[in-house]
Amino acid sequence: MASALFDSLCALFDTEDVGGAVEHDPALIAELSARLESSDESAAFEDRMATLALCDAVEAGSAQTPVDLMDLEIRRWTEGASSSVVPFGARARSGPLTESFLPLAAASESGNKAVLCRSQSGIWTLEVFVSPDDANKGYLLLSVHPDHRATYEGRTGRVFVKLGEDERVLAEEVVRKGEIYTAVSLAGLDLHARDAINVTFA
Amino acid sequence: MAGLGASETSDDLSLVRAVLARDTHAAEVFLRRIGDTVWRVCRLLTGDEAGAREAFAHVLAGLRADQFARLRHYDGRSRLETYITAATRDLLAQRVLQWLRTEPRKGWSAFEKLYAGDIRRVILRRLPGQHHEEMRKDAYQEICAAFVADEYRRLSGFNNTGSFSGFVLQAADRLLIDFIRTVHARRRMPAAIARLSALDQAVFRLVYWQEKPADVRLLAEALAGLDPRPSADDIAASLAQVLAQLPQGYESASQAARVTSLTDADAERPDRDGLTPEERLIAQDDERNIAAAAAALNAVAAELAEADRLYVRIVLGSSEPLPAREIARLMERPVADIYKLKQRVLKQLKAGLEERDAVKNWLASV
Repeated sequence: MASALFDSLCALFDTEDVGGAVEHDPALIAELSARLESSDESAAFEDRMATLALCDAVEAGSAQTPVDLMDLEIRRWTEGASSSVVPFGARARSGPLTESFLPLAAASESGNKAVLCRSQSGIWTLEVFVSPDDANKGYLLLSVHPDHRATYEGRTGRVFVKLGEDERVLAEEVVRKGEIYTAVSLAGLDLHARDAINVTFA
Repeated sequence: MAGLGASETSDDLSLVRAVLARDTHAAEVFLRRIGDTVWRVCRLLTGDEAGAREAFAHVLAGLRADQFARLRHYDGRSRLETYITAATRDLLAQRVLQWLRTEPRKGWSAFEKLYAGDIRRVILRRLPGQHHEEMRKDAYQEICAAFVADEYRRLSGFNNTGSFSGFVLQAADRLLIDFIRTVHARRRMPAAIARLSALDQAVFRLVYWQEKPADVRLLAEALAGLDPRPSADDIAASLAQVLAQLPQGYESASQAARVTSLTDADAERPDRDGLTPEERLIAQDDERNIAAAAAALNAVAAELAEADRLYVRIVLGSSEPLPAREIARLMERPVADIYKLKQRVLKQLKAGLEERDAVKNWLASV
């Protein structure tokens, strides 16, 4: 039994070399496990394994929340919120809307070729494509979440970067079909690490 | 466009902070973002649509409670969906615990729906393969019986330290280990068989422990990995030899299975009744050997870094070798790291074990 234990232990760690002929005795492993595990760590471990398994199952699923349930919850979550927070619809009607895109949190792995991120509010997506033959030129695509398209359609978006006290306007375009797409100059900008892009809608 | 991981979690954190700041627009965006995740968890863990609807409302009330207290713990290190999945399960688990204490029957019904899949996964991990199918069913029944015993004492006694799910699954694993050890005690190789050749013993294990048919062709397939590879004649001869030496009345694994709970502090050790004096001596020797080796391994493992200990735990938590890719997934690390980790852990374990007298004595006795 002792040699079987030793063999089992060694073979267990041999993840890639073990062939089909090797078979472990669950009882030996159970004996070892029973004597090795400390309770706090093993509970946390089991919890972690269960969470991973559940995440896999959830990702594999396609069920969608019933609309009535979602509507009910949205009402519950948005009613009674602090009055100091202006409801989104009211903001849209009452004054300029602003969006900001933090630098780089979203830089892609392809270096300076593209930047993609969502605005802090979560409803706008910004993509900047660098021209393949001129790193100082690029194209900016701003797209709004479909649920909010009506709010912004026809408004003029002013896209700018703050440089100290000054603002450098990259583009000023009307939102059409939920998007602004325009050529921009990227000269002197560092969208990955320094310059946040802001947009106001009038 | 690639490499959005950091961006996604950063946006997730911004969104959660906006919800905490009582931004109603953010609340709506947040709900639309997590709604399907919560719904799918509820569907998976409650079993039916009506139960899922009730659970969904319960979970969202739990997330909203105390000024969104649960959301305050989100730090953006994981995906929002992962965090919400874990939070949803935890809220449902808390509800089950409450029911077990106040409405035990309702609580048990919900408990089984919540944890049946997880408990079966724990069992499959330690008892993999088709040949353990019956044993897995028995193990599940035994674990459930232990949970139900004494008015759900094991479950309702949870002291609210750590996660209830972790507590439940750890308890299930301990009960499973007890179950396996009990069966194993009954499966101890008879002394007459232990004196036979390695091939005879392998044939004995296949036929009487794993309950494979005593068919030479099937056994030859199962024994193909032996070196030298046994011929059909060798296997037929071994079968005859085992049969001739087997003690009268010896039962196969499933016939002999009997469960004794060992998780209580005062529980009995596996039953040794019925052993011959020689078998009892062998059993005692086995016990000493494994205790010495495990104690040494325990001491070495305690000195390992946290990631290394997690690796050891994953490896020892499974009764079959896991592919490096699966270990990488469980540890949330690149596969290349796992190979390095394995080399490092093996080196440390080997060095540590070789230094210990208990292991030297053990190896000398082999």
